[in-house]
Amino acid sequence: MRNLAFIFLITTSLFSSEYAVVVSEKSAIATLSVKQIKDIFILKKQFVDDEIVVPVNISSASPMRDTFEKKILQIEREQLSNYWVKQHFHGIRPPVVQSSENSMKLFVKNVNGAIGYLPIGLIDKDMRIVYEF
Amino acid sequence: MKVLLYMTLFFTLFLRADDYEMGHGLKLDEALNLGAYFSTDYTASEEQDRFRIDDVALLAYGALYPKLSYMVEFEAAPLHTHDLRANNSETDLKFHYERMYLDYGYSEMFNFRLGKQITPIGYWNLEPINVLRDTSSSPLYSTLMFPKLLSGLDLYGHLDEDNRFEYHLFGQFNDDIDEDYINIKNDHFLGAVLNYEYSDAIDFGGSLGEYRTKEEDTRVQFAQMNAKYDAYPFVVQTEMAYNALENKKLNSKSYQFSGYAQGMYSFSLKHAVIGRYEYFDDERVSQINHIGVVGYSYRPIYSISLKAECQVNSDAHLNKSILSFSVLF
Repeated sequence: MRNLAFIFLITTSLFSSEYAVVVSEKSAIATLSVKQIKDIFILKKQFVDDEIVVPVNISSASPMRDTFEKKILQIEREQLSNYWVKQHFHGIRPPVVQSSENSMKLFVKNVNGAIGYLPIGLIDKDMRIVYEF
Repeated sequence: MKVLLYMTLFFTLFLRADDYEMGHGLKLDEALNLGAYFSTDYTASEEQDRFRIDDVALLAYGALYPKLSYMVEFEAAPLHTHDLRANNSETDLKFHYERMYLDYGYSEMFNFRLGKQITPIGYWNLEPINVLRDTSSSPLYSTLMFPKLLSGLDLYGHLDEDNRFEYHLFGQFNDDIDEDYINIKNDHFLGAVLNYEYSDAIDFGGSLGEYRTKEEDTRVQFAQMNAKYDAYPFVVQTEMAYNALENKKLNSKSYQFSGYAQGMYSFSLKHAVIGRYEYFDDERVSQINHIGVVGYSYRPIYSISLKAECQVNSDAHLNKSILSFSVLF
């Protein structure tokens, strides 16, 4: 029985989500698909239900940023950088960057339309989870 | 000489800025981002042996309000040409308006772009500068079938929640903002574009429209199609357009048809080989061209491009080899 419980614990920890994409509690956005989140973060999609969205990234040194790019954007860092070179020609710059999880949290809570991602343990009642990864 | 000095100063400022990353522009403020690019090429053919500083451009863009942004781009092209056989040079330091527009985003479905802008047709036309292209040369399709730039209004957006259907409805009922700097001078240009993103790798679309050329006073109705498969390390894309031309003064009707298919295989993010086939048929001059292009592209970083290519034309006089070097700041 103890072995079964141990296997259950390992399995759930392996497959449970570590991070979540979040918006402010005041936002009208309820859930988003992976494609919608990807389009928002590559600035192909600027509105959700006519609400303007402001994506925010964590600094590139963060392991959370790596996980987000691999699981949601599904693109390697260098290819993403190349994508932003092309967008620069079209007058589009990458999303703003926050240096820490706390500043990301404050940004999402206080900036209208902000959408970011955080470790699930840091998410409080002022924020709404729209996707877990 | 003064212009070259200012440009050198400008590029030096770019490279010395603290948070500047090559190819990503320089952000001074939300409302002011600066960028620049240039390209040089050397062409060897039966008719010429030519070195050019082709494009030199400066761009500025930014967000004035959350939903309102702008873009301004000035370009000199070709800035300097040196004919190595005749041993003569020409320099033209006049900068032209390449783009100058305001963008207003009302919703995902309705956005407006007003001013001089890139005509939103196909793939090639949207990434027209050497450093972003995979070959030094552009297919005839991209320069002879429709005006590359629009001086008017484009209403555009997405038709579905997942942004798979993208549309553009555009119109111009005036002269180009800078008539010296457009491939086809016109005073009437209308079009409708619909693109569909089937998956991350596959998309396709097409457009219909018409324009009136100023020089020949010819009404041209066009139909265009494009399709692309892009999954690293392969990119395959094709575009084609059919033009029905009518000149009432000469009481003549004719057609043009042109297209290309291009494939690229990347050995790595730095090295790639490219092959392209082009077709161009102009009934007015009974001219049909088949063009094959084989090229190699090296990008030490994405915003610096070194390319070499050989073109084989069905009219052998037009065979050529091109080497180019281009940079986006």
